[in-house]
Amino acid sequence: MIPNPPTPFPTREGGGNTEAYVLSDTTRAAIVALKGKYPKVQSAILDALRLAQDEIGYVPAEASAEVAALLGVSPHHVHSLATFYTMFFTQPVGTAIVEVCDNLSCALWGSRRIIARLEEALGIAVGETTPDGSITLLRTIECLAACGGAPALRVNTTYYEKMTEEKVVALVKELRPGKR
Amino acid sequence: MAEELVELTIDGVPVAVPKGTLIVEAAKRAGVDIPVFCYHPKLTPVGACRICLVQIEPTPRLQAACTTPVAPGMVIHTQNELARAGRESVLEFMLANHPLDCPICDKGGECPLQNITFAWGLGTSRFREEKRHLAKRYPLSERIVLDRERCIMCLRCTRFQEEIAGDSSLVVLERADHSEIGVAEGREFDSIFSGNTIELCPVGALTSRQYRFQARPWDLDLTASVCGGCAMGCNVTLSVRDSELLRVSSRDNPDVDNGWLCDYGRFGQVGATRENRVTTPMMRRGNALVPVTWAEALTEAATRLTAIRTAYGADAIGGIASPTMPNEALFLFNRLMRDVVGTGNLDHYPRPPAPARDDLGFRGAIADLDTVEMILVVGVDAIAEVPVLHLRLRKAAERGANLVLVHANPTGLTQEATTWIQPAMRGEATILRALAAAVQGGKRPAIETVIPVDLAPVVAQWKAAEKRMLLVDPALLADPSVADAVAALLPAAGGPVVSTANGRGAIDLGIFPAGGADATAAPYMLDGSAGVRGLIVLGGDPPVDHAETLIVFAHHLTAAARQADIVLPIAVATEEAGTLTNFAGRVQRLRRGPALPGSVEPAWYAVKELAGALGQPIPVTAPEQVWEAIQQNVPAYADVTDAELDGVTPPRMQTIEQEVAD
Amino acid sequence: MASVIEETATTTAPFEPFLTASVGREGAWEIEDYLSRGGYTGWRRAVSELTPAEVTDWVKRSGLRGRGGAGFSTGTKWGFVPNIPGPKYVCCNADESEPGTFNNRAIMEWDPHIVVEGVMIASYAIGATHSFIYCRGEFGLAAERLIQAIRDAEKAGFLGTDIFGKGVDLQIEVFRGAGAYICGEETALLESLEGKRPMPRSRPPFPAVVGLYGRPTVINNAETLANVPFILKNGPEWYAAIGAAPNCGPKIYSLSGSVNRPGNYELPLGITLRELVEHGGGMREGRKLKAVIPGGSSAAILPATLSDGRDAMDLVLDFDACRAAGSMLGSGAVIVLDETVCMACAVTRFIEFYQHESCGKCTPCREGTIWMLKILERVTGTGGTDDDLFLVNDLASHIPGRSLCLLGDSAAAPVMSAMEHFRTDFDTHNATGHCPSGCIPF
Repeated sequence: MIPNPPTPFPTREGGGNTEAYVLSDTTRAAIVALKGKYPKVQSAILDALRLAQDEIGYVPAEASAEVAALLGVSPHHVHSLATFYTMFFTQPVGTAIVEVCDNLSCALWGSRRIIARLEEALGIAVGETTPDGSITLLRTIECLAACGGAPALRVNTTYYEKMTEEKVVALVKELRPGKR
Repeated sequence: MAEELVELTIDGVPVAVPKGTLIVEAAKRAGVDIPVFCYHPKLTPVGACRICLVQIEPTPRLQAACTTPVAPGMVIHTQNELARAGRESVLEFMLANHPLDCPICDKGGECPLQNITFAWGLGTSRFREEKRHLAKRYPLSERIVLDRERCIMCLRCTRFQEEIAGDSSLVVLERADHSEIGVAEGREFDSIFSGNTIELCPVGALTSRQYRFQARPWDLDLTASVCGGCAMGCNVTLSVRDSELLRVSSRDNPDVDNGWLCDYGRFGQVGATRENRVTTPMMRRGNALVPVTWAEALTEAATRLTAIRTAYGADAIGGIASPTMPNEALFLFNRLMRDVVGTGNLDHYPRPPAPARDDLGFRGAIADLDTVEMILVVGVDAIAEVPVLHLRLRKAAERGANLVLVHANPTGLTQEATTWIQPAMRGEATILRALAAAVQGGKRPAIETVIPVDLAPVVAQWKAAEKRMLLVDPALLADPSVADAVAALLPAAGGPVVSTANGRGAIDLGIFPAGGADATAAPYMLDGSAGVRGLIVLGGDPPVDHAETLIVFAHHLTAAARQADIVLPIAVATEEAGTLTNFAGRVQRLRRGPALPGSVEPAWYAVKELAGALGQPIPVTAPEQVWEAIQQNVPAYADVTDAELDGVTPPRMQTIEQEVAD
Repeated sequence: MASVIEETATTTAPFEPFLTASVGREGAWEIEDYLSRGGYTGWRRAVSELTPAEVTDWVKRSGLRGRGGAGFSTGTKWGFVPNIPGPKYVCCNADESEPGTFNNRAIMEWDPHIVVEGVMIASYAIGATHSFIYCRGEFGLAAERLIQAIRDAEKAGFLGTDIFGKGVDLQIEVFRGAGAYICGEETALLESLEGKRPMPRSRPPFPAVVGLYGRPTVINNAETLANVPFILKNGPEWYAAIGAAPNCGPKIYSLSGSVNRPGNYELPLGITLRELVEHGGGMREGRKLKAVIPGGSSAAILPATLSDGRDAMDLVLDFDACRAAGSMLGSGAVIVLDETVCMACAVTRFIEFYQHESCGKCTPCREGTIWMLKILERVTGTGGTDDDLFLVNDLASHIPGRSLCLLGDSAAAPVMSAMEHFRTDFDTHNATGHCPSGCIPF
């Protein structure tokens, strides 16, 4: 007889907080629909996280737990993937993510000047988000695969190539709230 | 089937091993020591740590011995310049950001990283940068704390949870040099098998909060024993310092536990030696229990029992034993009740509702799970009742055994099962009857469960399988028609899974009312309806409603003990010497780890003393003598060997499968 | 990014680009456009006229070698897949992330059908009925175009069940990555696709035998597969005549760095660096060549004067010549560095990349890259010591061959080659605490 069991038995996977969903019914349905897309359901985690991030703007812990519950996989594992891949943000980010390629080929064409100009125009440093939450400025460690159009940057999923200081200033104006 | 052997040489030593053997295992056969961190024979090889790099002629590029299988004629070097340089550089990289806080590390003294550095390392470091800073005391759960700086990313813990426990409850977060072990935000490391990761950890990254800073390994006395937590009978090593039990760790027995423990067995047993103990005999004075000497307590007990016997006859006395008590205590309790007191009012509680039938004993062994084609689990929720059995069932399902689960509710195995049949209330019995009828060739009776079940595929699979096992909830056997059905299915291996620690021992030793009389079964002795006036309780905590005189042999201050007139303090499993029988009928030896607290006595001794006080001494002085008597009196135990009693692995430090050269 | 039609020194017939012919042309991604160019002719021929073994044989005979970096015979690779029952898979590696490489994105955005058709033919050849295109997560447009191409091909009856009435079944899914260079490593790609952490697997077993979901799997680069429809359409001999055997076919060179017109140039394998740079409009501002990286950041850096005394401009850009020169053609990402570039800064930037992209699984890569980065950041920051330079070179030499996958080797190659050929750049940093050339404005 063992009088003091350490903790209650674990709940099975996906036993997270189900009272308040952070994802909309549409997104939840889309995630459930992913279950048949691949031979094994675990393959759908990245797609599901992307759907969650598309809706919320980032992937808070509640969202990855919800993804896990919907797919029937370990919430810990979902969190593991969310933290491995650089395209998932576990903290809030701006509506527009401006990502300047700063690998060698773009650096040779002045990406650091582009970044400096953007910092000045946005009034924030790399890695920061404008106070109104509209724009996050990032510098990529990876190469964006746009060296032919160096220096290049991405705004969310759209590529902008052969950027100049003038062009990024214009771009910032475009990205300001009310302009998009 | 003859295995195909592959011949190769390792450091000039010729060796022949089965095809497919990994170099690291072949080296063990050749007596060549290859250091490992990430490699573990029970986990999928990943080749992550790279410490096992060896050179295979003629390629100068080193290969990981833990992921490379042998090939005929391989010539492998572990000690030449190439291999040595490779190993040294890997160790240098590994230690670069390691905090080297060995003096305050629990693992120090039984640490593979320490040992391998001592044996193979350079002794100097060229790392002059600021070391990486990560969380030092990160509580993963109330049982386990993580030091992320010490972690070398061997991935043993995460592989254990994914592959063996099957819950992926511990994972790697982030990537590159800030990779760290962790869990989802706002969650805990919530696996009941979590403690195994402490043992698997080859550094001091995962440590037990219970054991943290309690001892240095070299100050520990190690004792080989068996877990008294449930009917699995997992083999354990008890670590004791200054007479106190500080930790319980595994002691691999492939026939029983495969080297794993559940957290109840690992952590609960340490707590059980400390908390809420009864450490001295006590007698009721008014509303209070007051400490007395053994002599006073025994004299008072004997006086009262004799008075009851004189006034109302021996059958006014009853005895209820806990099925967690060792065989020795149960055997002497049987003698006490039947021969000394002179009554057949004897039972164990809790127990399955019907006494065992001879044709319902467990057949085969737990290890048969590694080879059977089909496993039928009816009404057993292994993870809740016998947790380590759950791991063995998972393993069987993983290797492709056909696991058919019949259970009204989802259990831990629902996801692993090939088929899950979910009957309505008590539908398990119906399904067993139908199955037996179909297997016996009769017409298949209709199944009147809420969810209509087509048993035909299961019947066909059962008939087709050559090796099969049935695991059944013993409570179902109360219904004689179900018992008949199970008996009919039991040419297969398996049988009832009696889940209490020595429930099977209690059955084997006949701790039942005389003649199987229902009227004096434990529940009726407890509620007073059996006419028992004097009740003797051995261990456990049965709900006593009515007893004029209540004598309780107690390890803890239980509800029963609080009600008692006389309390006699007895040992818990880790303090006992004796034997326990697991649900599969395997008898294993308990050895005393810590000292007995206060004036606690082993249960067998306490029972013997009461017999003596009643004027009929039982002439035994050691539990081994009682075991000899058991072997003479219980045919099923006559042939049990010492080797079987002791298991296969000697007690050892808390590191599984580490072999490091001196 | 216009394609370049050019006669070259190693081919006698004029070379017509076909992989990038439609890059930059509005609407080229539509299936009608592709069909009007003879699209899916190769697929139809494969299924209607050839056995899977014959398709593999054609690809073998064409001399097509993997464009992802290894330069291994594609047909031979297909031939490794055991002919056993049960699922088999083709995974198209479109996780293009090697710094300096940008041709997959171009063809997938503008001409996705050539990749899709290549996947189809490969699937037929190995008997796969369910195949995947692993598309780099950042490539939103490319993924969109691929998905549309697959949908249109399904509608046209090129995918689905009983294709062309020949009893061939095939479905293709686009799997999108999410930001991890390591997924370009083929076993990490498989892990990623399986929904696990993308950490490379140990080999053996090789993916051809134990691949996706434990089943036989072929993994080919998107550029490699884009060649396949043309081989089936025009025949292996036609293909083998392009370039100079055993370096057959065209290569989409991704030219970047210090040239006037960086871009993708589809040319027969075997042109020289000089020719390629001329296609790219010559050296930027007429500067002199300092170094060239012929195959993406993982390739060793070659100095302007090669070890055999030749001018690097004369380096033949094919698999074997680059290897002979001590580097590799890799993905064909040619990064040209001029005399103003400080190699210490350039290499530090690469190590920052490799450190960030190390998956963290194996010790030498995880610990070696961060250690090297810390030293190099000091050297290029405030200046380091001779001991630092000795140590960083020594550490780099301890990673190759000891890490689990080639990422470790890739991180070491630029460090060791830069230390060998451009030691003075590092020394100047150490001596002055400043960049010697004030080169790229790092």
